[in-house]
Amino acid sequence: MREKILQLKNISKAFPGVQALEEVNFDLETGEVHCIVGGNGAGKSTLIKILAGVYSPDGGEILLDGVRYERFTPHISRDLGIQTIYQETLLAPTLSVAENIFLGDSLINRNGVVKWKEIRARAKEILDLLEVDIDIDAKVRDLGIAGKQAVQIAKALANESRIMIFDEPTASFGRKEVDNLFKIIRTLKQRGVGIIYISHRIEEVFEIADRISVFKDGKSVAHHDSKEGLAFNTLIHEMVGRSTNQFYDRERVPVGGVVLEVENLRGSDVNGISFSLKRGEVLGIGGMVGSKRTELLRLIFGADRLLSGTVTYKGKTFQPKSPLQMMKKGFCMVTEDRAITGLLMKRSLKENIMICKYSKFPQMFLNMKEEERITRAEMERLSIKAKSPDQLVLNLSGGNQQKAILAKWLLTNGDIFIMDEPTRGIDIAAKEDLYQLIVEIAKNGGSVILVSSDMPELVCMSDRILIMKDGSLAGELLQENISEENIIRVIVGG
Amino acid sequence: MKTENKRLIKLKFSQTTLLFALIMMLVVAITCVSPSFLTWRNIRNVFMQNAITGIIVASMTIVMIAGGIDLAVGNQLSFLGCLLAVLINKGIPEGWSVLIVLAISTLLCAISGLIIANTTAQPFIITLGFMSVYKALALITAGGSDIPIRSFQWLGQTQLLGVIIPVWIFLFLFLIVALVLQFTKFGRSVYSLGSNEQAAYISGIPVKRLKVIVYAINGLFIGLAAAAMLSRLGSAVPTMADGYEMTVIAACAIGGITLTGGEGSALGSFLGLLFLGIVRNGLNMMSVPTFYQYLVNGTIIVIAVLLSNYNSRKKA
Repeated sequence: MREKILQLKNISKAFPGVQALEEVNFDLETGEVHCIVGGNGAGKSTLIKILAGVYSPDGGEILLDGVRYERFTPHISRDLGIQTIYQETLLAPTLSVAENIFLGDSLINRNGVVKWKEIRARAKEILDLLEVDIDIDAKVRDLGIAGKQAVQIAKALANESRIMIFDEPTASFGRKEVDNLFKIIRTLKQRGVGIIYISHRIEEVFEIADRISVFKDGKSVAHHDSKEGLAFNTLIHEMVGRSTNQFYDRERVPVGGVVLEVENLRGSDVNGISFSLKRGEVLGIGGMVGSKRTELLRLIFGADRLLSGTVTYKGKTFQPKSPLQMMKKGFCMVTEDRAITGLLMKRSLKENIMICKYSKFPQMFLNMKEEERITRAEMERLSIKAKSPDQLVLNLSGGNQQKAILAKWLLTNGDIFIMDEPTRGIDIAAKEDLYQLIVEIAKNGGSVILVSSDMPELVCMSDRILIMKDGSLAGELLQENISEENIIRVIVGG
Repeated sequence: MKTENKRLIKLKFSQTTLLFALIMMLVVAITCVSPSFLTWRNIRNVFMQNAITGIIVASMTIVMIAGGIDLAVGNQLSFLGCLLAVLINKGIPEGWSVLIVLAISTLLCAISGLIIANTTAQPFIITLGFMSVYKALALITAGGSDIPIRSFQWLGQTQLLGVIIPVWIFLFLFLIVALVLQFTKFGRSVYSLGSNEQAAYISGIPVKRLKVIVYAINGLFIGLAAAAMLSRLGSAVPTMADGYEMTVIAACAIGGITLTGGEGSALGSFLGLLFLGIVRNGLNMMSVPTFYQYLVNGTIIVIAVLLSNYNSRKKA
C-alpha cells in the first residue's frame, strides 16, 4: 500500500535577482518514482537543495510523515532518511567499497575497535540485495562512474534512507549502465523507497517514471499521474513552452573532400585507430562509456602522449605533440568537463573567452577595450546570457558556460572542431543553440568530430558515425544507415 | 549595464580596500600610542626594513598566483649573499659578481621549476627540500662564519631623493610586477595557470614552460634581493635571511593570494607586506619584547587571512 511520505506545499525561494522557486507543490509516495523534468534554471536543483537542507525556503511548508517542517538542515535531512545521489560522487576514493558504504557510521565495538567482519558482511548483503557485482574490498577510485554511483546508493540504503533523490544520474552513462541503474531503482521501489528522479533525458524518464512533474522557471507547470497516453512531444512542449521535435532537424551541408587523415593512432588506452574527416562534415563517434572516446580525442589534440600514429592535415603528416601545436594548425577542442578541463571557473567570462585567441596569436600586451568588445560581440552572437563580460563563469548556467567554451575556440578561426559531449547537462533550448552553431561551423567549411552519449543527438547531428569499443573502432555507419538501432547493433554485436 | 560594471569593480576592490582600511586603523592606533610613528623618518624606516623581503614578495606574488610556492627563498637569499661576498672579496669586479649571482640564482630556481613542471611532486615539498640544501650551501660557502665585504656598500647606502637605493629597487620591481600581471599576456597566463591548469593546457598555454619561467623570475628577484641585502648589511651572515619565507608568504596570503592560486594581485601583496611591516615597526616603537612580537605577528596573520577569506567567500 502506497502512502504519502513527503509533501511540499507552496515552497518559494528567491535569490538576488531570481525567483528560483515560486509556490511549488510536490509530493512523493513510498515505492514510487516521481520524475522531475525541466530545463536549466527550472528550479530542480533548488528543490533538491531545500530537501537536502542546504537552502531554507522563503515560504511554504514541508510535511514528512505528516510532520510539519519549515526547513531542513543537512543534519535533519539525513536523520529523516533523505539522501541525494549526486553526479559527482561524494565518496572517499582511497577507501574500500565496504568502508565507504559504512563511512560515518559507528560500527565499532565497546573498545572502540572497528567491527570489520560486520562491515564487510553487511556491505556484501546490501550489494547483493541491489544485485550489483562489485568487489567490497576494491578501492572506490578504481570503480567506474556507474560503480561509484552504485556504492552511493548502497550507502544510502545502509543509512536506511527512505527518500532517494537522483540528480541527472545517467548524464554520462551508456545504455548498459542505464539499464543496470534502472534495475537497482526497481529494487529500491520494491523496498518502499520513494524516489525523486531528475533527468534531461526524456526517453529515460518515460521508462522509469510512475509520475512526472514538469518544472519551468521556478514553477511546477504540469503534472502527470501516469505516463499512459502521454506523448513525448507533450512533455517537451511543457518543458520548453514551445513545440519542438525530440529529434532536432538539422540543416544539411554538402560534404566536401577529405581534410584530415588520422592514421593508426595509438595511445595508452587507444589501440590503433584510423579514419578520415571531410570538409563540412559532422563525424559522430558513438560507443559505451569507457570505450575510450575521450582518450582518442585527446590524442588527436596532442593533449595526451601519443605512442604511435600520425595525422595528415593540409598536406602535412605529423604527430600531435601539444594542444598549442594543434591549435596553431587550426584544431579546436571542446572538452567534456566544463569545470575540470573547460573553463577557469573563478575567472571572468572575458578572460575565458579570450584565452585561446591570446595563446594562438603572438601578442605581448592585452588590449582591454578589444577584450570588452569581442566578448560582448560573442555574447551577442552565441546568445550567452551574462550580466557583463566581467561576470565569473562560475555564476553562469551550464548552457552559457558551454557556449563560452565554444566561443573561445571560435575566436581562434580554427576549422577542425573536436567536441566531447558538448551538450551534456544543458537544457533543450541551449542544446538547440549549440546544434545550430555546429551546423554553422560545417557551413563555413569547418569539420566537426562529435563524441556524444546522447543517442538522438548523435543520430540527428552526424553525417557519418564511427563506433568505438574498448579503444578500437568497431564500425562505421554512413548517413543512410544512421539510426539508434544500428548504433546499438554495432555496439552489442560481436 | 553601466551600473553593473561599477558594482563589479567595487566588489573587486573590496578585498584590498578592506586591507587598506585595516592599515589606516593600525596607523591611527599606533600613532595614538607613540606619536613619533607618523614621521617621515619612521615611514622611511618601515620601507627600508621591508625592501629586501619586498623584492621577494613581488616575485612570490607571481609564483603563488600561478599556483606554486617557494619555501626556499629565505635560505637561498642567505646562500646568494654569502656567494656574492666571497666573489667580491676575491676581487671579481662588483658588476660581474652581481651578474654571476643573478645568473646562478635564476638557474637554481629554474631547476626547481623544471622539477615541479615535469613531475607530479608538490612544489611545497620540493622547495622544502631545497630549503635545507641552500642552508647547507650558505654555511659551506661562508665556512661557518660571517664574511665582511671590503667594497660594494654603496648600493645599500646611497640615497636617492632621501631614500636608499634598495627601496627604489623594491618599489620599481613591484610596479613592474603589477603592470605585467595586469596588462600582459604573460600575466594573464599566470592567472589562468593558477586558476585551472588543465583548462589552461588545453587552451594552448604552455604550462610547463610557464612554470619554469615563473620560478626563474623568482630566482632573479632573489638574486637582486641578495645583492641589496649584502650591500646594506656590509657583511654576509650564513643565516641572515632565515625565516624570510614566512614573512613573504604571509604578506602574499594577507594580500589575498590563496595556496591554490588563480587569485590575488600585486597591490594586495604590497599592502599585505606593508601591514606586516607596520605591525612590526609599531611593536618596536612601543618597545614590546621580541618574544611577544612573534605572538602578535602570528595572531595577526591568522586573523588577517581569516578576514580576507571570509570576504572573498562572501564575494562568490
